[in-house]
This record gives sequence, structure tokens and C-alpha cells, in this order.
Amino acid sequence: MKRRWNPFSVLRYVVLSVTALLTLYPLFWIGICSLKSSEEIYGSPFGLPKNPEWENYAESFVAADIPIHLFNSIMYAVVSLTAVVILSSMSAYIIAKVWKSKRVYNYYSLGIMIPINAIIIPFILIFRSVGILNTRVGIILAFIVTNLAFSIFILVPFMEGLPDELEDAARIDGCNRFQTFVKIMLPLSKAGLATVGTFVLINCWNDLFLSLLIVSKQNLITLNQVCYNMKSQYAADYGLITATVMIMVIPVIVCYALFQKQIVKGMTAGSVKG
Amino acid sequence: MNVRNRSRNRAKKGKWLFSFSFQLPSFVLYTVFLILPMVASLYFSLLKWDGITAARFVGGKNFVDLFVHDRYFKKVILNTVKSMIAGVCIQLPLAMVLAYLVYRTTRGFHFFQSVYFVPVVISATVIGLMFSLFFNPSFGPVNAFLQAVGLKGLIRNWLTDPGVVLFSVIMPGIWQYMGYHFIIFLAGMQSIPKEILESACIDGANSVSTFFLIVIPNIKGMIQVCLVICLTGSIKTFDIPYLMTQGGPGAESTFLSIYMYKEAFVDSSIGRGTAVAVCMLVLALVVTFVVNGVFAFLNRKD
Repeated sequence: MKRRWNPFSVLRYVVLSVTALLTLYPLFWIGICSLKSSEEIYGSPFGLPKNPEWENYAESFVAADIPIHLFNSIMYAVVSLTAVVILSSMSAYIIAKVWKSKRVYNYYSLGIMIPINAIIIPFILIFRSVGILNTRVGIILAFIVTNLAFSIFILVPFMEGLPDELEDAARIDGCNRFQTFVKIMLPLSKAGLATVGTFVLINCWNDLFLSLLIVSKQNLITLNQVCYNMKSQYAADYGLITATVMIMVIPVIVCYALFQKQIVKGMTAGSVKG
Repeated sequence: MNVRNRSRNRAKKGKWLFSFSFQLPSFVLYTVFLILPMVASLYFSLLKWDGITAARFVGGKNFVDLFVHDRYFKKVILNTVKSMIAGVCIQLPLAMVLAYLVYRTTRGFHFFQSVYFVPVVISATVIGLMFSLFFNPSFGPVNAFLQAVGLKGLIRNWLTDPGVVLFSVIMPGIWQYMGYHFIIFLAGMQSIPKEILESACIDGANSVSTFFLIVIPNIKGMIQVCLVICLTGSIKTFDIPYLMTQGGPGAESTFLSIYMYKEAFVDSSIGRGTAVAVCMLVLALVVTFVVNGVFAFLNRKD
């Protein structure tokens, strides 16, 4: 059979490609700008850089003090991620396997309906009265709390899906509950934990709202806040700003390229389940 | 007998002790930092308070002020509603059509699927910063592009012209999260049983009628989820517009979150700020219940 040339399928590919271009071009544009001098950006905003200026990156590292903020961003995200995974798996295990309680689960589910923006004022006031505003503990605690309910919401149904027999077998073999949790439940829940972990990691890495309100000391702020501050500090120095943006974006793109399935799953976890 | 009873009691006690100590940290954190603030919000919204000196109870005065006397609040609500409408009427249909187009392709399926999701993983700060560079009136590429293709009439001060600034701050959000809805719709379409589509094809349905008569009714659940996410997302949007214009000029690009932030943390009127936040909370809950109600009604008919 001869392959027929179908005008509709050509049109479809044209639409899809144009959309793909519109999706990627802005990021690509930032990428090429980060290698240009300011004059070159104003002169020919769309052209490729004639001689790539890697100095923009070096300059951004110094001017914006990148290493310390990069460290902050990574540290906050990793510590919060670890804490959320531990706390939510503990809590989910009890709800799913020990109490088998719908009531406690519904109590946590309430939390995913509340947008954090809507309760932020008392939230910050509590932080202030406890004295953890403008501390590392404060921002990490905020990240943990805002991600906890959602993680439990995802993990409970996941753990409920695991067979009860495995747990019983472990108990008969002489494991106590703690050992059962660590040796049986956690390894079996790996996929669920990975989903939750990805979700928390991306949320923390991308957060601006909470960190803007909680940390303002120069040595505590995150990369996102640096980008935010850059806009007013170096308004005209596009090369510098775009280089900083790239430092922020590149790790995310690399991770996305490597763990694409995992990331998509993590970010859409709540919605697909309904 | 007695011994067995005692040991069973001890086991029971151990079980409770264990499960409480495992549950306690999450429960305390969640209750103190999420549930308590929510309850406190309702109370704070009835106060006149700057956060430092003594608070005064004023009842519903903050809400009356907002809805009757405040010169910006109506504009803020209107902006939020416009952003919701833009999400539902532009973002979701585009995402759905794209998902369908990708669903019908075999070649390049994975490529398009991965590309459209890229903006979703990037932080909203970066997206906001990026678009504020794009829309820069003197050297941003948007105006340069319009100049180059001879559409000089369309050149604007995108971030300061009251006529277009709302468009400029809503558009990046639509661009960024379209991929999110796209992925959800696509997942929905992939779960439609192949037999249904095949029999439609045999009955002579073309792509367009398959889309409207087979695909859309079968992804109702996904549409419901996306509607809720899209609408509540519009209600709480903060990062992108705040970064691009800080809500200006005037209140032309201010949304509920930004207004609350300014009232509470810039003007330090905690009571009024919380009142805005309560409106936001109520709006989010109402929208969720309305969407779920409508879909419950639609599903009852089948």
C-alpha cells in the first residue's frame, strides 16, 4: 500500500511544532542572552551571540554571591524533602495499616483544599511569636508544613494498596512494629515515596512566596529571591540577569531530562488520582 | 488465662504508644501551622490591628470597608475573575486540543509530550522575570519583533499601560501551566478504551466528531480536575504578576494574593489583609464546590 500524503496530518504537525517552538523559544532566548553583552542584546535581540561572553556567568557568581544562595536553596529543599518523606510516611503508615482510619485521613485531606496564600498572615505571626522568622529553621519548617498534608494524602492510598499479608508475615517472623515499618513498608513504598519526594523538591526549589516572607537576611535568602532582587538591582544589565536565571534553570532542565517520567508523575500526582 | 490477658493488654498498649508516637509529629505540625492559622484567619479578619499594638474588635467592618468603600478591591476581584475566565476559555481548550493532536500522532509523541511540560517545572519567579524582560518597552524582544514585522501600531508599554498590563501578567501563567493541563488531558485520553475509538472510526466518525462525541465525554473526570486546579490557581496567583509589575500601575494588575500581601505586610493592617485572605479562601471553596456540583449533576444524567 502506498503511503498517502494527508494534508490534515501535515497541518497537525505544523500546529504541534509551532507550539513546541513557542514553548521552548523563550527559554532559548534567555540562554543566548546570557552569553551576550548588554549592548548586543539591545542591538540585535534575536541574533546568536557573536562571541559568547562567559564572563556574564563569572560576574553573576560574584555580583549575586551565587554559591551561598545556591547552597541555601539546595539545603532548604533537601532537608525539607527528607523531613517530609520521613514524617508523612510514618503518619501514612499508621493511618493506612494500623488504625485504618478514614477520619484522620479526611482531617489531613482538608489541608490540600486550603491555599497557603489564604492563611499566610496568622502563619507568619505564629512564626514571629515563636521567634523563627529570618532563620533557617523557620523556612525549612514552613516548607515541611506546607507539603506535609499533600504527601500524606498521596501516601495513604498507596500504602493501603500494599497487601496486609506481608506485614503479618513480618510480625510472625518476630519483627516489631518499628522494624516492620522500616524493613517492609518503606522499601515497598519506594515508588510512592519517590513521587512525594519529587513533588516536595520541586515545590521548595521553585518557591518564592514563603521565602520572601520568612527570610530576608542576605546570607539566608534563596536563589529565587536573588532573581527577584536582581530585577530592581541590575535592571539594565540583561546579560547578568539572564546568566543568573540560567544558573537557576539549568539544574532543573537537566533533572527533567534525566528523570522526566518521575517528575511528571510527582507534579501531577494529586490531580490524576482526583 | 490471666497471663495471656495481661500480655495482650501490654501488646495493645504498645500498639497505641507506637502509633501515637508515629502520628504525633505530623499531627502537631499540621494542626498548629495549618488548621490553627485557618481558624485564626476567621478571627483576625474581624479585628482592627497593626500586628504590634493592641487589637480592637470591629466585627464585619473590614468586609464592609472592602466591598463598599475600598477603591481598589472591586478592581482586584474583577482582575481575578478575568484571570479565571482567561484560564478556562483559553488555557484549558488549547491544552485539550493539543493533547488530542498529540494523542493522534505516533511519530514524535514522546518529543511533544516532554517539550510541552518543560515550562511547568521552572519556577514562576524565573518565568515572571523572563517575561518582564520580554515586555520591556525600550529593548524587550516583543516590541522589537512588532517593529520588525511592521506592526508598529501594536507597540505598547506592556508593563505600564493600564489597557494591556493585565494581559501581560496573565499571559505568562497561561503559557507556563498549559503543559500541566495538557499532560492531565493526555493521560485521560490514553485511558479511553481503544475499542470505543475503533468502533467510532468504523462508523465513519472523523477526527473532529470523535473529539467532541467520544473523547470529551470520556475525559469528564480530567476536565473537572483541571477546572478546579485552573480556577483555584487563578485565585491564589502571586509570583508572576508580583514580580512583573508588583500589581501596578494603580491596581491594574493586582490580584487577591498581591492585595492581601500589600495590606498586611506593606501597610501592616493585619485585619484588612486577613479579610482579603478570607475572601480568597471563600472564593476558592465556592469555586471548588460549584465545579464539583456541576459535574455531579452531569454525571447523574448518564
